[in-house]
Amino acid sequence: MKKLLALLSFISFTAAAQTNLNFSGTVSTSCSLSVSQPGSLVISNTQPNILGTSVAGGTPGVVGVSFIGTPTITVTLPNSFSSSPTLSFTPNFNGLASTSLLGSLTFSAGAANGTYSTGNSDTVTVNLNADSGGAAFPLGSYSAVVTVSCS
Amino acid sequence: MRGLWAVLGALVTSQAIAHGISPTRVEAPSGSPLVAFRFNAINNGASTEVYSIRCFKHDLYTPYPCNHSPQMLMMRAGSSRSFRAQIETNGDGLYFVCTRQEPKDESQTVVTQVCARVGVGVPASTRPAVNR
Repeated sequence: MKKLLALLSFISFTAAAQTNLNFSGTVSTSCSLSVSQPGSLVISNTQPNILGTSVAGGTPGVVGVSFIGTPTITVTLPNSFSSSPTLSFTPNFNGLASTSLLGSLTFSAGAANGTYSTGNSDTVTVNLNADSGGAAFPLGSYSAVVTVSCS
Repeated sequence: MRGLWAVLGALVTSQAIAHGISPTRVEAPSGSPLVAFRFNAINNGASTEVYSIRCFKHDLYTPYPCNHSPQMLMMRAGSSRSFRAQIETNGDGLYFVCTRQEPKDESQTVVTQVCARVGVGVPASTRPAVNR
């Protein structure tokens, strides 16, 4: 009888010591970006009014995208050079952007975007060209920045 | 409570890539004149980066004023850091809080920017406008 009581007591103690650990979390749309290739602007030998990444010798900017869910990629062109020699003209910037998953992005008024529906990684390639409108680009260093956003 | 504080509730899978933000979707009630949230900037890259903080409304083209602390983020490789952003809203709509990687030198033609969507009276899942 004593052994039975001891066994029942042990069982009761064991049952009372049990508990549940609950785990919870939320997976929401997110993305992260990295510049794989910064891109370089080169003056065109055949069209000296074009300074850009898509002329011979230039390289496009490339951004890697890693994402969860359905984020939107937005590519925004600059309105002006962030640094340059003094210019006697206002350059016109135009761009070409494409991604492995979304294909070509269509620019409208200097910006383009696209929203992912599938996948979890992508590469965005951006070409930027500045057109002087006919004038020669003065000698010197130029820089212009395209912003690739993910939201 | 008109101002709304969000804790870091979103679970974001770690990814071996450079630049992220968490949470990415937050919402505040319709009519909130002031919203404030705390975000986490993430640098999963291999080098120290400097990020600026920018806010937008409706689209990602025209900056919208906001207060944030700190003013800039200098982050070591593989680190994350929280920051606070406060927006005086101008009606309901979709706002954005973004961290933008500052170019390391003048030769860099592409910079990255990751944004959290802040829905004030609208779902945070609302897509940004295309029009500039």
